[in-house]
Amino acid sequence: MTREEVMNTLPLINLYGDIYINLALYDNIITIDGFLSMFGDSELTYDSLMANPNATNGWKNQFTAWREQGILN
Amino acid sequence: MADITQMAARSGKVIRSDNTIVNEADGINDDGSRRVQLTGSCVEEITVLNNVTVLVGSQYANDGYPYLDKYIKARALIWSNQPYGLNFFQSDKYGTPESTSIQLAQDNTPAPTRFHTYDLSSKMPTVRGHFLYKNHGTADATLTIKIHGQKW
Repeated sequence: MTREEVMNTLPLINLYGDIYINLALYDNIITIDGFLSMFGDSELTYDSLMANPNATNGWKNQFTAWREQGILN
Repeated sequence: MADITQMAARSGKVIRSDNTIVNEADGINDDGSRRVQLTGSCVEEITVLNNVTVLVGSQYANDGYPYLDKYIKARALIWSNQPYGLNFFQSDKYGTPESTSIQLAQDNTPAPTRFHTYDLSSKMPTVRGHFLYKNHGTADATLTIKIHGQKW
């Protein structure tokens, strides 16, 4: 996935002057660079993210929520 | 019954319950001012977060402690089952976060459970601000933060 894909697909939040990806299911945030370092080798799709070895149960729950919201295919 | 208002003033000793004698100089500073120490009865506890999940690699932001300015001293108590970094951002009097942050704690040791206390008043005189907790571990974290403060 590319940075542009992330910025155009995932929900973003401006917090204290910095842009984060909003992980609303847990009220967490992550920087775009941080997300790319963990999942950048995957495609920005539900199945590809779920298969990533960095996808813990919490992350899988967040990916499922994004799919149910129509954010991920 | 004796009427104490008719008794002559006289000196005496005050004896504590453990039979030690109170020193008249106790509680007097070198400049003559009196020193008052608050005891545990004034300590309040605020549970800021209770068992929230912080995904591995992600962060949790809290928008501040609106009541902390009533404390003369406050401590943060952190329970985290993953290595973490914790930054406190001081706010101005309107609650607007300042851009500079204070790295209050970072613990990357691989212990299974952590409990730390941090003296906020020594780091942030106003003890008003917000924090950013980052999970540096390899698994999703469970985080609890409480504040102990002594009231004015």
